[in-house]
Amino acid sequence: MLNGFLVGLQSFTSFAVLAGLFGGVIVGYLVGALPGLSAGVGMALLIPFTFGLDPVVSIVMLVTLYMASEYSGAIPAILVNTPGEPSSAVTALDGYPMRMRGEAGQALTLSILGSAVGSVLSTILLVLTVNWMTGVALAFGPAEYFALAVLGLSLVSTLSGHSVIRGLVALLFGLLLTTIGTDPVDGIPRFVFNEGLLGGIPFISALIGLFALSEVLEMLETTDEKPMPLKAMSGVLGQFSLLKPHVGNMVRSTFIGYILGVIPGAGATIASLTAYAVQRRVSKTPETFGKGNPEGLVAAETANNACMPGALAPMLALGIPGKASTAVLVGALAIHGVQPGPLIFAQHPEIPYSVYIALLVGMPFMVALGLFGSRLWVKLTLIPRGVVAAIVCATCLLGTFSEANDIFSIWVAAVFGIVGYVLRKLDIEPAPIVLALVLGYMMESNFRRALVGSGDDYAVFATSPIAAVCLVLALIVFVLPLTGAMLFKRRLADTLPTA
Amino acid sequence: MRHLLKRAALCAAIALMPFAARAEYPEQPVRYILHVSPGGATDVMARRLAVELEKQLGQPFVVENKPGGRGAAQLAEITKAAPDGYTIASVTSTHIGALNQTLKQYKIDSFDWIARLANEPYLVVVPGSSDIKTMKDLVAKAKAAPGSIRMAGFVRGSGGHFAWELMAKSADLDSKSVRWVPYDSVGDAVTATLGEHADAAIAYVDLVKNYVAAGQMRVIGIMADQRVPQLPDVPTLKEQGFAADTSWQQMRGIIGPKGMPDDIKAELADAVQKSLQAPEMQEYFKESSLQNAFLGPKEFPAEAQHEDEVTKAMMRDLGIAQ
Repeated sequence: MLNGFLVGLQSFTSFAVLAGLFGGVIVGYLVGALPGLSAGVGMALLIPFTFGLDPVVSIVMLVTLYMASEYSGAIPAILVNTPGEPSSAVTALDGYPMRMRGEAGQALTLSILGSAVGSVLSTILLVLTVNWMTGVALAFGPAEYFALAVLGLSLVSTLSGHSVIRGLVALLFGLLLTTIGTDPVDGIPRFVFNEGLLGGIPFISALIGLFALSEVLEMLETTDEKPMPLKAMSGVLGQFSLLKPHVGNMVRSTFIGYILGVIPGAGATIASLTAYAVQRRVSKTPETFGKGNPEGLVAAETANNACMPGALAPMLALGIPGKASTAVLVGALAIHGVQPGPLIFAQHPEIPYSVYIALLVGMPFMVALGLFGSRLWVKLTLIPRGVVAAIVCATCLLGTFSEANDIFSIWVAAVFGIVGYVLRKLDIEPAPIVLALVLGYMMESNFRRALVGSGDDYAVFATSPIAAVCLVLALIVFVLPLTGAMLFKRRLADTLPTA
Repeated sequence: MRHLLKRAALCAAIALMPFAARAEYPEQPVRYILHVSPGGATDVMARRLAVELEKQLGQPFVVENKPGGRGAAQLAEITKAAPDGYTIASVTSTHIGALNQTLKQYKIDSFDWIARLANEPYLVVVPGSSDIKTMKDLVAKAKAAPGSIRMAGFVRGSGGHFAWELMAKSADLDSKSVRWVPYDSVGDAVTATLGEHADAAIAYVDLVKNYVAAGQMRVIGIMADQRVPQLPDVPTLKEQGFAADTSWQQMRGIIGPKGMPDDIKAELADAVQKSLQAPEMQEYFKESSLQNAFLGPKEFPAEAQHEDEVTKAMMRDLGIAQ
C-alpha cells in the first residue's frame, strides 16, 4: 500500500494534476450549488475536455468535482430551501429553519465542517477496506434492494415531525407518482400521456418544482422588504468550535454514509436520510428536528459526503458504477483505455492511489473555500426577496433544462411548482415526496424482479438474511411511534389523578 | 402565409441547387444527437467518432445528448429536423425494440439509415463458482429442472432477451424453463450475476472481460461466427453444436431525418468508413471489444428492416404486448 501511495504522490508533483485538483473543486462548488445541475451531469459535461488529458489528471479533476458538489448542494438548501443536489433535500429540513432564525452562517459552517469530517473519515475507510467492501457491494440483489427501499420509506415516514398523517400523505403521493412511466419488467408504458414521461417523472424537474419554484411562489406573497435577522459569526477558529457537540454524530453518520455508499443501488440521498433518522432516534431533543436542530443538519451533510468515497469502492475494485456520477468516472477512464475492476490495482495502481490522495488533498481546499465562503454567501439573505426569487427561478429552470436539453422538463418543473405551493398551503412538506420518488422505483422494480427470479415465491424476502433484517427494522420503525404514542397516553392516563 | 411561401421558395432553391454546389457539404457544424446520457459506452464512441469525422469533413460534429424514453426524446428531435445532413443521430438495436413497443408512431422507414458502425456479439456468462461449464451444461440443467436457472439481462423485448430466445430455440429448449429476470441495464444484470443473485446473464465482451480475466466470471458461449480475440478460449455456440442466428448482434449506427439527399448520405457514410479506419478509432474498437461492421446507406436500411422483421416475429411468438 505504501508503494501505491508513493506512486500516487509522485503524480501530484505535476502542475497539471494540481491544476486539475483545484479546478475540480471550484467547478464542483458551482455544479453542486446550482439546483438542477447534478454531480453526474456536471462531470459528464467535463468529459469532452478530458480527451486530451492524462488519465490521472482527468480522474483527479472529476473526483474532486464530485466531492465538492456533494457538499455545495447544501448552500442553496440552507439559504433558499432549494437543494442543490437531491441528497441535500434532507439538509434543508433543518438548515432552512436555522437560516430563518438568523443562523445562516452557523448552519453553513456546520455543513462544511460536517462534510469535511465525513469526507476524510470515509476516505480513510475506503483506503483500508476497499477490497473487503466488494462483498458488501455484491451482497445486494433484488430481494435485498427491495427490503432496503422499504426500510428507507419507513424512515421517510418519520421525517415530518409535527404530523405523521401529513408525512404519510406526502409519501403515498410520491409513490403514486412513481407508477408513471415505463413498467420496469415488461416495458409497458403506464399513465404516459407525453413521450417525455416514458422514463417516469423527470426527477430533477420534480425536485426543482417542489422545492425551489414553490418557495419562489411563496416569496412572491410577501411584499415585506425587511431583511432577515443575521446573527454575528465568530472568527475562523470559533467556527471550528461549533463542531464540538457533534463528534459522536459525525462518526456515526460517516459509517452510515460509507456503507450505504458502497451498496451500488443506494446512494447519497438514502445515506443522508438514514443518518438523519438515526440521529433523531439517539438525540435528546428529537422534537426539534425539522425546526432547525443543528444535529439533523450535521448528520445529513456528514453522511452524504461520506457516501462518496463509499461509492468509489465498488467502482474501483469491481468496476461497478453504482450511481450516475461513478458511471461517468468509469466512462472517463474508458476513454483512456483504463477499465476499473478487479485488475486495476495490478495494472494501473496510479489511478486508485491518486484518487485517494486527491480526496485527502482536495478536502482542506474545499473546507477553506467553504469556511471563507460562508461569510460571503450569508450576504445573500440580505438581498431583497424579489431579486432572490428571480435569481432562484432563472438558475433553477436553466439547471432543469440542462439535464436533458429539453423544454418539456421545464413544464414539468412548473407544474410541480404549483403542486408544491398548494401542498405548502396544506402544511405538507415536499421532502417525503422527493424521497418517495427516489425509493419508489427501487422498491417496485426490485420487488417484481425478485418475484420473477423466485417464480412468485414470496419466501425470497425472508430467506435472505439482509432482506429479512431490513424488513423487520422497517416494521419496527413504522410501528414503534404508534405503540410508543399509545403507551405514553396510557401512562399519562395512569398518572393523572382520576377525578 | 408569408412564412409558407418563404419556405417553399427555400425548398425550391435547394432542390434546384446544382450538384456541384451541394458537393461542398458540410458548410456548417453538424449536430450529432445521441439517445444516451454522457459517459456511457455509446456516448464515448460517438464522441470519438465525432472527432474523426471533423478531421475528414472539416466541420465540427457537435454531440448533443437527448436521453430519455429508450430514444423517444432523441427521435422526436430528429423528426423535427430538416433532412439536410446537418442533423444526424445515433441508433442501436435498442431503438428497433422500442419502435415495436413504446414508440410505435415511428417505423423503420420514418428515418434515413446512413451507416452501420459496429456490432457486438451476445454471450452467456456465469459466476466463476458456477457448476455450469458449457452451454450444454446450462441446457441440460434447464431441461432437468425447469425454473432452476435465473437468467439476467435487460428488459423483455430487448436485443439481449431475443438473443437468449434464439439460443434456446437452437438448443430445442422451451425458453420458459429458464426465468428471464429483467434489470435496468445489461451492466446491472452482470453485477447481479457476479453477486450470484442470478445464475447467468446475457451480456457483451466489454462488460465481462475483466471479471473473466480475474477468474470471477466465466463465459460459456459466444453467439458469433468466430471466437473473439479478447476471449480466445471461449468457444462459439456453433462450435458447441448450437446453430443460433449469429447475425443477431447489438448494432450501432447513424440515422438521419427522412428524405436526406443521396449524395450527402454517401458523403457522410464515406467519411464514417474512413474514420473507422483511423488508427485512434481502431485502437478504441480493440480496447472496447467492438467489431467494425460498416454498412453504407445502400445496405443498412435492408439490414435494419431485417432486424425489425425478426423482432416482430419474435414478439408474436413470445406474446410480448405490442
